[in-house]
Amino acid sequence: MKVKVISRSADEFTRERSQDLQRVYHNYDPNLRPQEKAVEYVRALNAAKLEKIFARPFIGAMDGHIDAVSCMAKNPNYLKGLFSGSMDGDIRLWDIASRRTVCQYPGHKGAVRGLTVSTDGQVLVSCGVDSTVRLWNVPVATLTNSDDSADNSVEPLATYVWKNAFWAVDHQWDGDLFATAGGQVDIWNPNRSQPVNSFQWGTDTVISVKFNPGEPNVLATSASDRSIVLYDLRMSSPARKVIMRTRTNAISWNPMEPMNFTAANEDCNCYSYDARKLEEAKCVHMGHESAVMDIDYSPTGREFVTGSYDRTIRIFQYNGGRSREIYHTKRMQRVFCVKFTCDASYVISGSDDTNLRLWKAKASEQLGVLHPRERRKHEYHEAVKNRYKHLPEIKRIVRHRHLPRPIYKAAALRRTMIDAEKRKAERRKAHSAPGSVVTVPVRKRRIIKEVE
Amino acid sequence: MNRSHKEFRCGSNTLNNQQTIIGIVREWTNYITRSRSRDRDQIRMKNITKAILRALKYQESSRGIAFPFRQLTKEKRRELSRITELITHNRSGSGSIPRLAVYLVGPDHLIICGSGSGSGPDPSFCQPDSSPTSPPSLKPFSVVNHRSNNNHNRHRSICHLETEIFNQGQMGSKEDDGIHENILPPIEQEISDELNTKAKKYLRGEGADLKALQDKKLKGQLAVREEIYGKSAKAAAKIEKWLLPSEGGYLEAEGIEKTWRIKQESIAREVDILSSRNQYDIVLPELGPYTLDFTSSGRYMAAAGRKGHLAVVDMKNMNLVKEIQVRETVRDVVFLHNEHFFAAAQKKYPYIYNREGTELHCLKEHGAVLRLQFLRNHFLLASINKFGQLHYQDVTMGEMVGNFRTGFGRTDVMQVNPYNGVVALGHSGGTVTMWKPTTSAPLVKMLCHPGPVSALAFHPNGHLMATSGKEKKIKIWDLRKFEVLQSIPGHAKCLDFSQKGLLAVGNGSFVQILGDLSGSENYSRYMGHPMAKGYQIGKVQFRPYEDVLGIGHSTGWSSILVPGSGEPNFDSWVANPFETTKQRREKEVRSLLDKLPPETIMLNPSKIGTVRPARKKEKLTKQEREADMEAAIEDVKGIAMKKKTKGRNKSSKVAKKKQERVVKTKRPFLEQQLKEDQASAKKRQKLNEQVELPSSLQRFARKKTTT
Repeated sequence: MKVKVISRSADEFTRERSQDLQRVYHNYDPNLRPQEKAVEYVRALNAAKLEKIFARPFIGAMDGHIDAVSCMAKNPNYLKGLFSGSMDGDIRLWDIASRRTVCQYPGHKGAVRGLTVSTDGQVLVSCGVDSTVRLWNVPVATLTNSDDSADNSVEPLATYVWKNAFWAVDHQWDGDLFATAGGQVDIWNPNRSQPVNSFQWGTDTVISVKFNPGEPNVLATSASDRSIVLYDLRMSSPARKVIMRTRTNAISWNPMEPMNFTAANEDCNCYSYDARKLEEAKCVHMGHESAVMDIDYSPTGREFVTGSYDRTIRIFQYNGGRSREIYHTKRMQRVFCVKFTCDASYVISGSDDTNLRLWKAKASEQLGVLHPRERRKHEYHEAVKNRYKHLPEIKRIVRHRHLPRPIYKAAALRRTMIDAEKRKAERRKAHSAPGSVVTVPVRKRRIIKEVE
Repeated sequence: MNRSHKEFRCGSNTLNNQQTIIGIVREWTNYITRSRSRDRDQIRMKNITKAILRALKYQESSRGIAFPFRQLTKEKRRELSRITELITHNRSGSGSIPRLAVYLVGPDHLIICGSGSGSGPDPSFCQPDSSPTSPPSLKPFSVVNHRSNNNHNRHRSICHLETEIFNQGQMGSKEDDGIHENILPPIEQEISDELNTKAKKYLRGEGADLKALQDKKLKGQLAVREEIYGKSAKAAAKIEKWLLPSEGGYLEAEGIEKTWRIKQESIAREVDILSSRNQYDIVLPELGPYTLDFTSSGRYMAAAGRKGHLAVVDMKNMNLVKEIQVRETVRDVVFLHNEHFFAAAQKKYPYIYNREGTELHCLKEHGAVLRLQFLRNHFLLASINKFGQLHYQDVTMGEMVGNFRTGFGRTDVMQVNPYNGVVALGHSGGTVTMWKPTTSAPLVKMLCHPGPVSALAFHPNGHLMATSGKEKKIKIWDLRKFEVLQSIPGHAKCLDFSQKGLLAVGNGSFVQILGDLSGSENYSRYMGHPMAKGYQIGKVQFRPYEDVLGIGHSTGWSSILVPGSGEPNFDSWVANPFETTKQRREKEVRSLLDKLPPETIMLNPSKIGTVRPARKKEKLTKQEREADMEAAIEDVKGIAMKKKTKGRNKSSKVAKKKQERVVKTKRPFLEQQLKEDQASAKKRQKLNEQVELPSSLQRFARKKTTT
């Protein structure tokens, strides 16, 4: 006879000293865990509810400007620094961590319209409606840390006066040229007082300009004649142009897929384009109730933030048709500029109420240093939520966002209008001869034509 | 080439020899493949071995024999390899047994060799004459693919094989090289096979059918997901194979002894002191028949005497935590989510006590309860009372979740299916009903026995149910098909399945343990234990994570050792027998957070989280319709004609009737087809006429054409 029975001595399975860790044993046999799917579902539901409870995206406001914030720029070499320009000609450098002004750059006579920082993070370029481009020295990071005084003002490195008011400025991602937008697109070398090159296609004002992150010589502009134009600095003439039904307020290139850019349009939508194929948008991002004023991609390229005239900020997936997140507060007015920080974890908005606001990019994310166990728990919650996201109960909780009453009403009204339009189109089609009415997909509907 | 082969090939005498070899080897192989358990008959083995060796004339020249066993299944092969290992390494102790070396070569062949009568394992037998220096391993055998010789008949091919094996240097080498490359070494092959079978358990069912999907994006996402699942299942299988700290218990008979004749005393002699402490009888004759319950970790036991004795015992160090006398009839006791709370079904109402023996709640709504059960995941206390009413109460908030009149009369046979939380009741009419707290009608009503159902138990994997009836039958049911798998004669007052699937049957003063020894869901006797005469067993329950069976009987309670019943490896996050106070508190909070709502109790709990399957294809194709019709006609033709009297059984009439039947069955199919044909023709005509009209006006078009 051979016999063996389970025999566990307590010494082997418990800790020896009270300082030791408790011993943990695992057995992954599914039979030991009955109804694991139900348990997982309950956990997913709880995770969804917890996410709602912990969704506190607003971190704080940065006040100091005395007029509406019109533009912002992030320093590619310094995570904590952020520049903002306002309608009264004030430019400030903010320390995001302490949410205080580090220094001010006085000099502009009218509104500052554009700000950008050079590739090495040393020079700040600003332009405004006073027809000047000013170059400023950016203080060294260590110096800004030690120096806490708020009225630390600097003299400009250079001031170039040009023919017309400027609307936007952008620096090359890799190189030392920068481009301004105004009556035409001007390409500047920081060492020269006059633009090295000028482009024009059409007579209307160019209102935004953005360099391509991958190809340093390619830039996209939008103009008030409702067009988006692509330029190449190596060519003497513009490359491409697409005319839409409404004006594009801002453009942002996807830093991870640099052939794609997203345009913030006046018609409440954002349109993602492939720069090689402009006859059709890749994706239409809907949700805003009023004109989208600014857009900025996350450095991960997976999502972007938009600010709108309807007093909300939304975060979209790069390929998602609806917003993932809606941020609003009672005091925030029309949003004129938004930026994703360089670590992709915060969003900053500048609005009409003279304040900059700092938001978390993930509303329910826990800030601070996470214990590995905490981090694993968050990851687990994320995974179960993702696994059961299609089930109605969880979907409802995850999707729900509270909206201020005016926006909610506007959304309802807009929905009614869109439905009515759709119904009308359907009826028109039904009452016309077969084939005479063609339904245009939404991705093409707002595009008038593409010009080469 | 050696002499014996020549002999095999030519003379008539040797032909006989050859046949005997083949016969014997076949017999031997059949024997070892058939006996799946480890208790092998030593004498028989010896005889067979001797016979083989005699046939091989191992003393003189013969080297061995190869036997193809490709036709065996993987499991059998694995078993075979284990046995061969045993033979080669273990059984050389006594000089009387001639040693036999058995090797597995590749996935296909078994090679049996006589190993001489030397003392230690002597590998020289496998060295061919031609190459005496080859290393003593499997290498000198060439792997010979049986398939390559299939133009020979069976006898010849084996013969051929032999020659090739033993003259590998000269003949077999040409075929060999190609085959060696793609075959893993046998041990690795075995391990990977084992891991694959283990991983199946962790995959939890079939993967998604990706081929049927149209959506490319979804297909890609699912493919990635499936890959992750496969990897994690494999990792879990590896953990199971290498990292688990303890191994399960077993009981093997040797020689002519039988496992069911082994007594508890003899087991106690063999096992360590710690385990032998688990055999005891507690005799408390005045306090009446006892019933037991264990906590989910098996650390604590609650015992309840009919005459009002309630006790909580710590089984680790055999401490009596608390005992109280409630001075009332106690019919049942059950632990709630941990050892700090237990519920006792007393004379008029069930009560909840804490570990100190303080009465916390009196659950008056339940009435005079006969049997209690606790659903751990849902925190529900289920009870069946004297009037056949089933109550579900949520013990966290105290809400009464369900209150149903079963309508089947009084019963005290109740069991929870641990797999899905469904409560099963056995009734006096022989039916078993299954209930969930959200519907007032039973989910399942199955007639299991012609007489009253006396006991009921569920396998922990939830697919097997054992019931016993008063008509001297114990039945094992497959709950996936609701079919009887096995019907075992015998009475049972109480039944219980262990974690490893052993079934304890208590009847009178005898406990029998049935085991699924063959792995084919065929229960046969494994152990037996007679109690002292006059003890009436009222409750048997296996202690989780231990090889122990607790028995509650008329004069106290007992505990016996049942090797191989418990799960050897516990999971600290599921049920920890060595739980500290802090861990218990944390676990209580965790389990309350994961408390399942009562709606999650359903027959198939894996349905949660799935979406409804796509609706069936509405329209059948023409071929399918015709096939259906053919099948229907065949069915009709198969029906035998009734014998009729008074001239109505004439062959002509029978033929006519048959014809009529065929026509009758054909009719609906043909009508359907006609209808569809007409409809499609009409549609086509319509399309042709109205192609110019917009869709909104098409509904007016027919009027226009008619006028």
